[in-house]
Amino acid sequence: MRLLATWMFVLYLFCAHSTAAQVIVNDSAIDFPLPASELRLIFSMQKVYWPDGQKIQVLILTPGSEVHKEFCFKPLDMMPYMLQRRWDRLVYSGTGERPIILKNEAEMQAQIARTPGSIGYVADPVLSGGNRVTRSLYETSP
Amino acid sequence: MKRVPSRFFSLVLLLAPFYSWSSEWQFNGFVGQGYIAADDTQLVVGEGDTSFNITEAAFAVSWKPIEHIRIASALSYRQWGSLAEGDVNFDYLFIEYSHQVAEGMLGIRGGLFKNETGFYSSTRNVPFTRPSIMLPQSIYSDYFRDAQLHIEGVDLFGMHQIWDGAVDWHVSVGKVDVTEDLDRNVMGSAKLGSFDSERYYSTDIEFQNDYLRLGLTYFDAEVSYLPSMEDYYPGDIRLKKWVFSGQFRYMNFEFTAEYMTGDRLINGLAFPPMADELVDSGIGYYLDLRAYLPHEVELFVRFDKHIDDKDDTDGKEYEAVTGLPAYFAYTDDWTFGARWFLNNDWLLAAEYHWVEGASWVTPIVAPDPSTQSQHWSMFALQISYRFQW
Repeated sequence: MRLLATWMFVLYLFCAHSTAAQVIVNDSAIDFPLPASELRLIFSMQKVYWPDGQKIQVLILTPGSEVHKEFCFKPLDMMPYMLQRRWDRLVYSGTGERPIILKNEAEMQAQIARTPGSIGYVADPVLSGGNRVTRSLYETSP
Repeated sequence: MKRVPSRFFSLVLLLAPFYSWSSEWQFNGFVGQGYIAADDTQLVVGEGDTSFNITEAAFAVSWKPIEHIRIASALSYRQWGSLAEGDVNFDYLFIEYSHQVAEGMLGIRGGLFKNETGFYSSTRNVPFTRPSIMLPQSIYSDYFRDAQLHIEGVDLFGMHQIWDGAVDWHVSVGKVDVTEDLDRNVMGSAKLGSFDSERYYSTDIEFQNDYLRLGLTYFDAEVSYLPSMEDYYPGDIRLKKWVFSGQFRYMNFEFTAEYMTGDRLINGLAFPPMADELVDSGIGYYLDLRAYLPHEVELFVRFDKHIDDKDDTDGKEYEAVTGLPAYFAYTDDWTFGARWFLNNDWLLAAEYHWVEGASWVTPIVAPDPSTQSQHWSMFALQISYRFQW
């Protein structure tokens, strides 16, 4: 029985950690389905405008952080260092910029709430801080 | 080197009108230290067998003072054994205007910028973006690096979203920014004379989606030569090249191939002015297969082939005409390598080159069979660190 409980606990821990990161956007961003391929373009900095002409402001957490890696693997379906390689190419050829790096999720919520056109992610929708969660959108995508 | 202060001054002039500090800044940089050991060649290592003088660093700044306008600059330091003497230079320094067009964008930039030949030219100095420590020389030759890499001029560019991916393109016109490294790598010594840039045109288009990357580049670059010794003649070297690039990713595997074809036209230099223009129709290509393994480890194997003249693939004609060994007319380079991201900021890379031939070994116009063998090898190791503020 005790063994079972231990296993349940381990399983619980595993589940708790496997919730995918959630994409959140500023309310000014147009509400339309964001398929995973679109998300990859946005976070690769290869799509820089929303359809209404607003500039997309891409925000991420420290690339070494667990949440960032989770975000890359889950909604983005991309290896973190592939994404980093695309940014490096832009940065060191001078032709573009990488996303803005924030220290923690609280900063992410606050920054997204006050920056029109911004997009980012948090570990859990509870942490969206009132920002729009785009969860349902990428889950419907291929 | 003497250009750095004047360019720094122009940067300050450029920035001066925008004194508000509140706008957006971004800083990035890296430092890399390498070690190269080579047998039966003097490429990179010179007269010794090994070199620790393999140091690279860059500091990049991007700034958006107002909407649509961006100013970007990078300072870089590069010392690469006997190929590049340690020097600080502006890697790029330009002002750019861009605007939304449909879902994509169009823009124009002016100043000093990088050429976009193939997949890797524009970031060839960056350990994190290039696929290996020494790039496939058939396309990214280190001896001519200087005559292609930095362009002073105007670049028209665009980026558009199609087929679940993005297309970006460039049309550039300007002059190449050459340094003394080119004099040494082509002629053997900077004392023999100097190269100067003439003109540069290029057009480049690239498509990238989740599993495919395709590119096409055409460039026309000319450098003129003024000798300071009587043994050589004034003249010029002009390259007119096409580069076709393709990359395909499946699961954890990535296959890359690039092919370069075109003419190298030489007037003067080692040939008297009354001689006809020397036209070499060279071919270069490489095939690269790599596996992305768990724990951010990458393994690759690559075959890189270069032929100076496509009508003389084994160099026999070259040998008959010049009296030099045939292997100076072609190169086959097999490379085996590994890259390991220790964490997000640190990269350790190692590779071994097993080479036959010496068509891209420096100095290009003065091959020396006594120091350069037909079969030779090179081992390279590099550790690099990057930062992002």
